[in-house]
Amino acid sequence: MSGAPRRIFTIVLILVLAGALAPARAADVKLTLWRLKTYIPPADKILDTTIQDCSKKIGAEVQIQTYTFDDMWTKYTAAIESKTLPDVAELDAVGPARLANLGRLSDVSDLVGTVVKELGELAPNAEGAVKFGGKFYAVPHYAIPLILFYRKDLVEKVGAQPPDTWEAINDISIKIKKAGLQDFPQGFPWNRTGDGYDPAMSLLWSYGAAWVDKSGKYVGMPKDKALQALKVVTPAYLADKTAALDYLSWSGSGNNEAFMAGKITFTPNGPSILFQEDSTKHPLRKDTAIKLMPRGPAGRNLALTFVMNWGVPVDGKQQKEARALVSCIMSKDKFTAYMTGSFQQAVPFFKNLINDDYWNNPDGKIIAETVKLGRPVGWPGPTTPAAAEVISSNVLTDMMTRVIVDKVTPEKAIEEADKRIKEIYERLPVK
Amino acid sequence: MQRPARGSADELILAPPVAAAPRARGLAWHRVNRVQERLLGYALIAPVALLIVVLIAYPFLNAIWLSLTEKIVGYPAHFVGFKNYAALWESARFRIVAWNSVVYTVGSIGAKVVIGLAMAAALQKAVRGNQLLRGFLLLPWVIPTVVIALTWRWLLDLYRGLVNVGLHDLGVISAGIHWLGNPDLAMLSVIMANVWRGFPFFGVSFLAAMQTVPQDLYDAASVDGASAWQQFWRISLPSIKGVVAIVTLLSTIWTLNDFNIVYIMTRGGPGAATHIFATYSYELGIQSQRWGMAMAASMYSLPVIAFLIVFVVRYLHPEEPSS
Amino acid sequence: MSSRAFRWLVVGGLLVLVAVPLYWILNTSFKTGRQILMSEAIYVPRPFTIENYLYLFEETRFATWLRNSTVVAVASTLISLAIGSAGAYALTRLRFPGRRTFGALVLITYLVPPGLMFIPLYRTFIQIGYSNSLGTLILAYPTFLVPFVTWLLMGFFRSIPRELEEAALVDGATRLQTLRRIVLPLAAPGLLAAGLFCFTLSWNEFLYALIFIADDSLRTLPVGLSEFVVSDFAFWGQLMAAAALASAPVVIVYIYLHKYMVSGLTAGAVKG
Repeated sequence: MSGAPRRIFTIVLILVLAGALAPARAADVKLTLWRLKTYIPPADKILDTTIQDCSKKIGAEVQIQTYTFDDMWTKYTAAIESKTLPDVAELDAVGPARLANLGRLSDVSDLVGTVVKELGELAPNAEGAVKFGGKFYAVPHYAIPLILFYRKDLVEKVGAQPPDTWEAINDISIKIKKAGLQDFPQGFPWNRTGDGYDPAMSLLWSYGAAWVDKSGKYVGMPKDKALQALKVVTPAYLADKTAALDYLSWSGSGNNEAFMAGKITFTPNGPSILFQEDSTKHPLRKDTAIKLMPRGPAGRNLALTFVMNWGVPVDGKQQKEARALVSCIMSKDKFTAYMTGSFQQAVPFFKNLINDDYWNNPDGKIIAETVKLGRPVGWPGPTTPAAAEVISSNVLTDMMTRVIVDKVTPEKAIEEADKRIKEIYERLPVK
Repeated sequence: MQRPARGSADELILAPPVAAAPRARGLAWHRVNRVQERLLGYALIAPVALLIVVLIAYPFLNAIWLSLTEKIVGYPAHFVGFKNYAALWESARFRIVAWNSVVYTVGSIGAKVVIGLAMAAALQKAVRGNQLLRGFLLLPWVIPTVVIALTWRWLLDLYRGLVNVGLHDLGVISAGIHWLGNPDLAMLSVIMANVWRGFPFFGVSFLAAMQTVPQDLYDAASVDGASAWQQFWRISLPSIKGVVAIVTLLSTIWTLNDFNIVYIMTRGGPGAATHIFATYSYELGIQSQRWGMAMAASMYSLPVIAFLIVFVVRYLHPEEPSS
Repeated sequence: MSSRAFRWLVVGGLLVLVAVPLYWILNTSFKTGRQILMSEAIYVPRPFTIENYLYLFEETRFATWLRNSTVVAVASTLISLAIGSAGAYALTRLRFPGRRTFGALVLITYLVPPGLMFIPLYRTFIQIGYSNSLGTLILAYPTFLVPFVTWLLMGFFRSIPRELEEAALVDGATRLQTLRRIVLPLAAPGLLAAGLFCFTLSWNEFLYALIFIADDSLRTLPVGLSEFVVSDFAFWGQLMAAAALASAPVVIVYIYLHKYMVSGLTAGAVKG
């Protein structure tokens, strides 16, 4: 195309684009809401329906944007910098700490009060992620607990009991490998996803290796306890060879697939495996069992990293409507509908709901128990931006991979991790 | 004045203007014409200039500034001098990242040059079906990189990937190969994906270049008894060395700061075995929320690129000073 | 080894190398989730199903991603061609002070590829106040397209004999007219090659699209595709179907126009 027609074409195209990119704004209240795209699509659908019903009720139009666990912080980072946080933001376990520290979240203590009236007392372990300086900066929504999945048929075959400790998992894995049932039965991926850093925290805390005190201030990583913990999980990759190196490169779905393809016996995951097996009428469903994550010498201190909360950023110009929306979503009928349609993924923090009959079955009991025992990120202190960064910088799982992949001594890996944590706490001091 | 050599850096940057014979018209016309020409010149490069200044130079300077600050997402930036650079320099992890970037780049580029040359040599003879072949072989370059990365990840899956399953069925291996778990194999895997994606660009460019070499050179060599190999080494290769240099340079710059393939295939894992500048910078910037540090990490790749550019320019014109 | 054997070996090897992943994409895309998960029927789908393709249009925003990618790719290409050809013409045909330096500057902009620039460029867009829109990408893509286009077209313009233009100028045409009527038509293959290049790179771009765009409805194909695997269950079947469809438009364009790509590269990169 030569000169003139092309120029005209370009101008027309630009005009068309300009039209497409600048939608006309109608008069009624428009809200934006960001929510997590969970592993259970039917649950998402229920939530979306709830949100739309609620928006009609309060006379607003809601635009829902979704994110996955992987790209959540890409989106939020961009929004924080460009001051375009949504009106209602579903945040993870560390989101409220980070945003509240920046002064970008509204005080929602009154909202929490309203919800408590309808849904019952809020579990104390939920406060660490959302309550700072005595005020609530997000409304706790639900938790996706990490539970231990195992193949009960294989465990039985080697004559073992379902494992309660990390050592037991190692032993059973060795037996299964020896019996030729599976090559690499132990699917604990010390990777950059929640399947990695959640068990990592649970592991360290169960060995008493927390690096902060009750106020959240850094006190140093207890080296001997951390060493104990490391020495329990690294042999699977190194000496026993009951875990395949590839597991370290798994994305969030890797362990699900390996488990359902019958390649591994043990893996930490949210309840989604049960959902996936049920919905595909999977042959292994009858052999799939769950248990609480293992305990250590210091007890069972399980991390609650998949916690979803509703925040109302101060950026939004429609604070009143945003709060009304959250209030409606968290109302008894709507939340109960969501909970019971979530295939046991959405474990609530409010007393009436957690005591609901929905959880009164073998699997449900374990799942609910996990949440009750859960410790917030930053335990034994509250969730702080520093604690948040320790996870998002993958300090703990890097510690594991330094030993497993780079063949560094556990002592040195712990040393490095401690140094990194110290540096983070210096940069983001706890107030 | 002589035209610059084909494919040379001079030709790249600018051919010296060929003086036009003065027209028969008056001097005044000539002068006005000159001014007109100048104005038109500026007008036509204005858009490019604007683009460069606003969207390349400014952000780049911004990047340098950011790298000298401690900028955490949400907080204002404050100046810290070279602290980020020093911290990275001392970081064992970053040294691994830098080394990986070199390995990834050298490995990929080396393979692409070799395959590109082989492809050009093989397709050089005008044979029926060549066009179709060339078109087909161009496909990897055309397909979205995201698709390529995901496909290779799927191909190399430990239990169900075609590679392991196929090798197993052929009896070559008994257990799955840890393509993405073994640190060395993981690097090999991302290099393989990069090479698969990039070799067509090399092959097609080299082929195009070779096809402008006059046939009589080859005929004369045949008459003198030179084999096809010798012809390739002594005639084809030297003739296209300019294009080889340019293509290699471009691809090196792109590969050194490649993001997609590594991010999607391994996220830099296992551990930091495949972490390269771009993926590490992304992790620092988005996950750790440290933009200052992220920029400092990226900046470390610049001296290499600058050196390469100078090197290539010198290589193509060893006698002349670099422009 | 005879050159004939060499030729067969190389061509054969490359064909296999290229064909295997492509076959794997198509193969997987026609399998059910169960087959993929349980590794049933590895080499040929059994049963053969198109449910993955249907799923794309029924349950995902694939059509939207397709639309967005098309808009961004076409617009970026046109803008880059316009800017690049103008610049290339000025740098090769017109004399004005500073053109040598400017020519070098255009080359130097290669130093700053997207992998390095994504954060500062994003900040720039935030400062301008124009982010999270397709237009942001349309403005951002030329930053890596224009340098290449300019360079390629410079080579092309140089290969067009000056005499043709000189003759027209003597006959009273203005510079712009010669650009439009003589130079551009002759440079058409080069423009086509540059255009294909721009389209391909824009269609495939991932990092900027991931960071600059927040709205679901504005996602482009590469970002949409990456969504399939990050959740807790990788829908490989749908992903491969999406991959096949995402590649199809560019592949089809290339089937028809690839010879221009090659001849464009020939003249642009090679001719003196």
